[in-house]
Amino acid sequence: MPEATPNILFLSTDQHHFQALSSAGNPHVRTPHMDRLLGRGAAFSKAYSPNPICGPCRASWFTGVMASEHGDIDNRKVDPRPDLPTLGEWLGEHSGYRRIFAGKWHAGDHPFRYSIRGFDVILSGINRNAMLGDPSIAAVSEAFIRNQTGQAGPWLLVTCLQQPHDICESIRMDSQPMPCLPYGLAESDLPPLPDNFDYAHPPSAAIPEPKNPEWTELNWRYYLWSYYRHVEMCDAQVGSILSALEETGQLETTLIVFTSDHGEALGSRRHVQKNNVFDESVRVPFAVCWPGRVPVVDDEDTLVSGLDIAPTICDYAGAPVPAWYRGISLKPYLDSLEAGQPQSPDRSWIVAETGANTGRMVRSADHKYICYSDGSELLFDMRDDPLEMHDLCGEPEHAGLLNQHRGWLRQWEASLDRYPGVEPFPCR
Amino acid sequence: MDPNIRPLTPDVLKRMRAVQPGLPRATFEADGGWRRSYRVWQSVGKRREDNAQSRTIGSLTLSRSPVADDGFALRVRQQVLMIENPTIRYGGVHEINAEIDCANDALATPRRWRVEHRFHRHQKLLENLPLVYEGRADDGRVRQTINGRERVEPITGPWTAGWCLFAALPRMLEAGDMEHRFTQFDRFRTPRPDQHLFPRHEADFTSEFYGPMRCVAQIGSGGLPIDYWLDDSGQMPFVTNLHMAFIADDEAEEKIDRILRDNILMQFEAQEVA
Repeated sequence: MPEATPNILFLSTDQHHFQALSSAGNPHVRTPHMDRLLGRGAAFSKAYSPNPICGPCRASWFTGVMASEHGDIDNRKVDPRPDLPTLGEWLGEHSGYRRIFAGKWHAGDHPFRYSIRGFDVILSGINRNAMLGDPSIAAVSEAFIRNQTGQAGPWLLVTCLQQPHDICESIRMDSQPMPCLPYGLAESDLPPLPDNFDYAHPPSAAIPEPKNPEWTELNWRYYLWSYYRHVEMCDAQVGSILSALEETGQLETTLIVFTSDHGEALGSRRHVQKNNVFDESVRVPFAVCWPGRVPVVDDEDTLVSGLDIAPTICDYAGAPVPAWYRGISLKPYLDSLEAGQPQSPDRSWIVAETGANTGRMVRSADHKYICYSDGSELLFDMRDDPLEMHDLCGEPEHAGLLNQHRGWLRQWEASLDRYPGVEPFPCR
Repeated sequence: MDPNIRPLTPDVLKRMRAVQPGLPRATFEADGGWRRSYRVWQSVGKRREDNAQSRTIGSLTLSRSPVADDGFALRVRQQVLMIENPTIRYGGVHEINAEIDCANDALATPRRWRVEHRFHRHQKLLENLPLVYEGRADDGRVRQTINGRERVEPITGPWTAGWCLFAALPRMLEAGDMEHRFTQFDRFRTPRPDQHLFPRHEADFTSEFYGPMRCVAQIGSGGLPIDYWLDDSGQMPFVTNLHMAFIADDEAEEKIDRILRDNILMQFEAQEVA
């Protein structure tokens, strides 16, 4: 294999809060394997999902466009537009890569399927059971990796783990509050509530009311404790996949892209789960690793979107980047870092949508603008107010900033090639 | 079904028609030879929706055979159906066959093992994806070859594998020694430290099928709390873990085999228990 054409592992978690990592300084979770991965490449801390709900985000990963363009806007069982090739189909046409898929697809109808355009599916997951599904998804990925030494041609392995999404099953199962201190847990064992736990955002029809009003603070803290155990389950599977690469000598020839489809509210604003564009829900872990080719760096400044995954993989694979992709390849930036002459991507803002086409986020270097289809707006200074508790919209001194972000959103929306039937978003 | 019930306990499993009638109590000896098969069952607990998607997603069968040198052989076969829902005929299966030589100590500590993973898609074995772990433990180290490549890892203190606990717990009950701290080596792939096993007396209850039931809980890193439920002979009809349960069913392995062989839908869920 030519040195410049790596094997590629696209490894994803599901519903992974961006700070649910030991390496993020979180003392309530133990993630040695994900930390090992993030510590070997470029870890981007300002990375965002293009749509913080499973199906729309995943369809964006694999088609390179927004949900309002590919059509799966709300986990509503709509397959992405057939005229949009999947990443697998594109690489099949424009490269010599073998394209293998394991795990949760959910880019359209049937989350767990054995027929995906452009990919050879070696094993799916299990609907609503990551606890049992993830070890199998990881094992088949490990088996694939361990059996590739001496095989011809580069490969793209997509491994989509299902954890920590099973936290949703806790909520679905329990019509009574989460338990407080079962199994001998002490109150001191439970993580504290986030500082924005009691912050109520302005009412909007587009985002749900705070969840679980019957829960006590201890119920909430047990929820956080449970969530971190789910993350640790996932971490173990990441470890077995990484070890397979290391032990077969393929780590140095494999580019790894690691991220999650969305985050988890984790009690912020008394919310659980996702599907809003506050950071807890829309911000995700993100790393690109390739020892010796991608520098080891903690990048706290560069804005990254899940839309960037497909163009980045195409670029590293030596395939052309489709003109209709909405994201950018991160390869030129990473190459410039490796060369010691950093050239930041030519992009000063990114956009995310919410499920059912009800909201938008514009994230710029220091600010976040949120707009909902009912006309409500929020503007935050993310440097001084990372928990998004102080809305700047009504403050006259920020009117220019507000208008600038409104303008960026109008510009973005005007460029979209909407799926038939998806209404234009009512920008301000 | 009452939407306010709280999964998963044996009582909830019974209400959800997931349990089987009693186990053959007279034939069980914790130290002897025995075979136990479980359905791997998951609750999809949609509130107010009757848990209608709850289903069996695999089987786990363990066979214990005493050997001469103060240990025993544990054979394991686990099949997991990797599918979206029970109405899909074709899909994938992850099959694990393991042979573990265990010490006769409290945790049934593994001494040697061979674990083979087999992946099936649409009823055909993916022959190009063999995955075999072979290993042994000595001098505080775990030495394994994985598809022929060596891995050596240190392991300190008491440890065991998840499957081995199914054989260890009945003996613990007999010995009256139910509290242990250890490392769990899941499928010999990833160690999880800081596991704590202890009796959870407040959950003990009397089952109409199994008589007095004892609950032993496991809590620790990398997993959610697990409850092991043992009857007074040491047999373990249930293991519950959040929304998943292992439910003793001597026909479980055969049922899964038949589903796969005959490509039939998985329609053996809602069994009435008189």
